[in-house]
Amino acid sequence: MTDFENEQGAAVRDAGAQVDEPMISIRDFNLWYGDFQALKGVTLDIPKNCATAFIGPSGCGKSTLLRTFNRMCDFVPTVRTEGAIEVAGRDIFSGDANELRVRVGMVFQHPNPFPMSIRDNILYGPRRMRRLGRAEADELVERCLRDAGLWDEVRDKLGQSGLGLSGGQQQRLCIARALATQPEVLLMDEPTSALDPISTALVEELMVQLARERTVVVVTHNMQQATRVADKTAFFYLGELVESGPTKQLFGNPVQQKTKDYLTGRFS
Amino acid sequence: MALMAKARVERVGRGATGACIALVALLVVTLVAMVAGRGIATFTADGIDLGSFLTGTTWNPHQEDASGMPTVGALPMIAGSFSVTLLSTLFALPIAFGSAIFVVEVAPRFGRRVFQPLLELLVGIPSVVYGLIGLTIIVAWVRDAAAAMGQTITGFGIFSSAVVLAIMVLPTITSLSIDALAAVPHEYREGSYALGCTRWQTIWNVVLKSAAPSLMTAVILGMTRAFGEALAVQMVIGNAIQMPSGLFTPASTLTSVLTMGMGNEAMGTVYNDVLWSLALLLLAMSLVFIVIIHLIGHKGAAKHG
Repeated sequence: MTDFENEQGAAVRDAGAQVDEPMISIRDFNLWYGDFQALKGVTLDIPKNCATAFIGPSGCGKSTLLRTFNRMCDFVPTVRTEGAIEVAGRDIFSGDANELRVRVGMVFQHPNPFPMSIRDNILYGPRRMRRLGRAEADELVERCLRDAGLWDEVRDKLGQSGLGLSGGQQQRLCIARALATQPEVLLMDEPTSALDPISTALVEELMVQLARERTVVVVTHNMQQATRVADKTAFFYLGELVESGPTKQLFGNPVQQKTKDYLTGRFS
Repeated sequence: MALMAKARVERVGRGATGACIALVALLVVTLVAMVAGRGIATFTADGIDLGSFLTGTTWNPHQEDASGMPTVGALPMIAGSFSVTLLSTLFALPIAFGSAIFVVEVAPRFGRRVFQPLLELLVGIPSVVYGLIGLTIIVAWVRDAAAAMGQTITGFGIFSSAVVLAIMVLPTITSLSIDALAAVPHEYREGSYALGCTRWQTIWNVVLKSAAPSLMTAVILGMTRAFGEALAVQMVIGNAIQMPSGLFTPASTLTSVLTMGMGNEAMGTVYNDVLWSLALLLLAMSLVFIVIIHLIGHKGAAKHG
């Protein structure tokens, strides 16, 4: 089970139990695109080996925050940040962004396998870091594809182009590719919004499984998805973190009026 | 009434655009038919052997060889054309790819505002100007450089032509390469960066790889242009119709022989027919280039489909 410092932490600590350090800790974080402030004073802890969902209407800053975790927002020329974000206790802005992205993987809204074979897609990340022997590469490909629930479907066509797969398979290939660098954190930016319902169900199931051994953060437009996959949910509105907590509590008994309004569909 | 008027507009529109298509198609067909008809006459009417035309190394249409036929071996020009084309592509390629990568991946704003207008300017310069520059500068440089190394040469030849042609095809290859690289979906780059790859790892492993078919097309279109260029080449190659023995001796190409000879011979003479055969050869080569481009296109489509 998950426990969150702001809700149950005190009680757990009193009982003498070990409280895990958060995987990602965000402290008073602000982000601007030019003059537009996209994130305002966000403070949040994302627990280790759990799935955390970011929900909120379009333009609320949830994707921006997600893309800050692996510094993909560095590519926006006008971006400016203030405040601190630590992943596994290390400040993400002081180190090398490429090294950070090896530890913090990402899956995008639209499946983006590279125009190369399924095998080469998986090995793309590891090969940029070190030389792989044939046996080691084979083993890595199989493990990543198994973890992404794709092995049985593609085991006989590893040499074929990743672009020949269906949309849902492509997205799972992208997940497998992201797993190949063995990231501690997997960021997913609306990973099912371009998929059909059956593929969506498969990817959701996968998220739950993946979150057992690593930290998963998923941005979603689909509130049901958050309830299905996430242990913890954070609700953003207009760049501010309105409320965060265990998914059951946030959906069942939200504290803030804004959250209630959003969950009941008063605005979207 | 309105319905009738509408129907007439449809008919007229269809008719007018259809006529344009018919005209273009007619033009292409008659052009190919004419060049082919004249070019083939060399072998049918004049009785020259196709094999000896393609492989003969002596070009002297006014002189008869041992079998009583005019000596029309086209191999010197064929060799000249191919070496000039390949060499110029070799010179232009790294510079074209390099600047395309810089413009697309490193400085897109500079590329759009400064570099691409510059390229368009280069495309627009008439080939005679390139020829003139080649004649006065490149030929002289090559001659002086050789003199500094103790060699006495004229400076005319395949090397100088290749340099001039490289400058001429550079903008073609570069702007097509820019298009090719810019067409690589941004998602591929994001995917690569998200795996912790640096910009140059991304460029090398994803961008260039997925743009490879289009880059090949760019190269071949550049080669087509180099192969077909006549005027500038004629000005710097030296126009000696002999088997090229080196990069720095005067040589000739299919196009240079055509421009030199076409005005001088009466229609229907053997010499004139043979020139048409050279033109047919050029036409056939451009067809080959086009077929290659289409094959690459299909292969690319199959890979991405």
